Amino acid sequence: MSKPEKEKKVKTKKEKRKKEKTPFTKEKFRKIMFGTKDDMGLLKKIAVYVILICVGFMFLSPVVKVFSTSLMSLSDLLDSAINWIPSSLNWDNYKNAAIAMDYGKAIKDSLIISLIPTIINVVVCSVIGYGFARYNFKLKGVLFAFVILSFVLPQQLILTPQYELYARLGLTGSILPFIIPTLFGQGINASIFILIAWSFFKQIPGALMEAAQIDGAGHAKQFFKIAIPSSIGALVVIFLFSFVWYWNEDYLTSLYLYNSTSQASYQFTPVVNQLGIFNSVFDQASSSAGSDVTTSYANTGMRMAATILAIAPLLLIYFILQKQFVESVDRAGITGE
Amino acid sequence: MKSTKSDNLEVKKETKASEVEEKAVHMAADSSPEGENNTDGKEHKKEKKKKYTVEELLNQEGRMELYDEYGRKKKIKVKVKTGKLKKREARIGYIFTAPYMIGVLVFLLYSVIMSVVYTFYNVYYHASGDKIMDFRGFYYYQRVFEKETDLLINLGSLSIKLLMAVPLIVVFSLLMAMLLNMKIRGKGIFRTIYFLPVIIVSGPVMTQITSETSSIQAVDLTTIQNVLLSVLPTWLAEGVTFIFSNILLLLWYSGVQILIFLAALQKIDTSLYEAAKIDGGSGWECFWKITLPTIKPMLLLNALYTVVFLSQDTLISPIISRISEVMQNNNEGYGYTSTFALLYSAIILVFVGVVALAFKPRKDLYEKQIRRTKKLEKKTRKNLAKHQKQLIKNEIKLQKAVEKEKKMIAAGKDLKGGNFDE
Repeated sequence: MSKPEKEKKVKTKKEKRKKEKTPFTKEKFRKIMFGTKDDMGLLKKIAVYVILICVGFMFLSPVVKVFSTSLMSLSDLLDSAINWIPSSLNWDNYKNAAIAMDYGKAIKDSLIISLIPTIINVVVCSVIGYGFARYNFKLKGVLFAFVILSFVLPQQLILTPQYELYARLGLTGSILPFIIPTLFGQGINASIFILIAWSFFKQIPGALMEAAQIDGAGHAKQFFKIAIPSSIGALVVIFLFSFVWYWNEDYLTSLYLYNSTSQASYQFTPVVNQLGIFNSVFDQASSSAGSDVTTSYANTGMRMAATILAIAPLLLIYFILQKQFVESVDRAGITGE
Repeated sequence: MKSTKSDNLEVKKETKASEVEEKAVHMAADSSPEGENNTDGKEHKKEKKKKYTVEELLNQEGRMELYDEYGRKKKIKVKVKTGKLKKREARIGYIFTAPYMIGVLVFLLYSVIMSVVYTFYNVYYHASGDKIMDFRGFYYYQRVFEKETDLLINLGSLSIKLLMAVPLIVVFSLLMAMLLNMKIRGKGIFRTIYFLPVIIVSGPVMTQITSETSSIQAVDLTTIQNVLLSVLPTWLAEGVTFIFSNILLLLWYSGVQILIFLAALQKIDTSLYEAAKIDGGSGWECFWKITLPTIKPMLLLNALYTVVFLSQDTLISPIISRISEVMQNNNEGYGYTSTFALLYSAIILVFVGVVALAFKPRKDLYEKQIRRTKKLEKKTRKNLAKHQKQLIKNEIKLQKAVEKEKKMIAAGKDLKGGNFDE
């Protein structure tokens, strides 16, 4: 064989390869659009993104709407052409709402009311959940049945005797009705937290614990050195949920903190309750104003500003803990087996 | 092992009558020497129930003793003494869960029991601070129905709402969880947005947000509502129109459910899907045959959570706000409030029970078959025992008769008119 012939052959081979690579047949088009068994097609991908974005918008839009309304001035509110974006940022609504709600004190009260029980909840529920997950004992089944029962049982049933108990002990008007039940795993939705902690701790392999035991770790050490560090995700989830639920609790706070006989003992007024008071005051004002449109519209802006103010700390905490939160869902411990 | 057993059983079923009789006869022949006294049979039973310890089992010389007369394995309960380590571990377990035990006793059980007790009493406080309880019987139950005139209508509309909202929320959250579980870009952002409702939805802030955003509605529903109201009874129409006009709100309530489903979906072993794909399964089949069966328990959990959550929500159930109102300014005393709360709780528990039954994970075919064969075995064994008993009884009768005959012969009486059956 001579050289040029060889080259020719090589060339033709290359060309062939090229030709094999490039042809844009119907099949290939189909593959790209509809995908293969391992890979999503383009159409499917687009559909998924469209659905996700649409539903995401649905979830986000009320918050955005409230936020934009809270920034609108009176003229913006009255202008029907302006729906989403205010013509100018009007922070006066926030100022007024903060003053009307006594925001500084309310935030402080809210933090006290939700942070202390939350921390207790994290500690107590993780301890109880660990007890359920790690050890076997005779009453375990019965106790676990109670956990599930208290998850299902409507709160209203146990509220009356509990309120009466606290009232008799003179605990109403203080924060104690929130702390004492929480200490014994009976706080707001505590059974859910116990279940979350239980499912996380159950995932720790028993061999790990045994190894630690052989190396001389006691039960407390096993709990603090192995169980807790490997289930930080659970603690984050419990913290977040507990904080949110205590923060948003307006009924129990109004029952336990206000309903004492002496009016002077309004020591705590959480933000959420302030929001309720604020709204009722404005409702009265607007109803007394009658058909005067401007006042009721003025209320709307301020109202939304107050709403945003009330949930602002929650949003802040959520965005701080968001990464751990999502990751802990990724680690998929929340549901157990 | 299993199949042979069931085969045997089938054979048994076919030749049941003859075989049973055969065995029974065999049995009777075996036991006839012992069966002279009636008490022997009882002793036999007692021996069967005896608990063996491990040592006894190991020291047993012939292993044949572990089988009964028919060659079946005897059910033997092995009693193992709990070791020291186990005991100590149990003790530590009690220590860890001690707070919860106290909590259950003091807060949960006490409150529930007192709440039930209060429904029969007129409870009020004297000026001096003494608690006074007057027994009133079922007065308050009557009173609640008298006073809360729209209770039944509200309950009806609540049940309609639940009936429509629970499947809606569960299906929607499952769909969303599956989409979020796909390989997509921007997972983190989407998840952050999707879990946002969890933060806001539980509070009174929700009322504000819904009041503001109710204006964004895709379709004007007033005409449909009017038609429905004119056709259906109020409680039904109210529930239906509520669902239609508050779909956005309901979807907002599905944050926690999405979370639970997502966590469950991530737990499914991906090798299952790979195996299914190799066998030529499509995505659709994978969903019905792998995904759904695996997350079935989560379906139940989510449905229960939805029912509990919706029934506690003031926007969905107006009765909740009414109860709160009654509790805060109670002119009727604690008896009235707790009766109201108890009635409502009982109804909610009924709803929960219905949902639990509807979503209960059913046992699969294999387990069903096992159960059926076990039942059959039990039945045949029972029949056998019955036969045995009858045979033993007959034997005893016969023996007695023979004895009587002997006695009579000994007494020298004539037996010509005897009516013993031989």
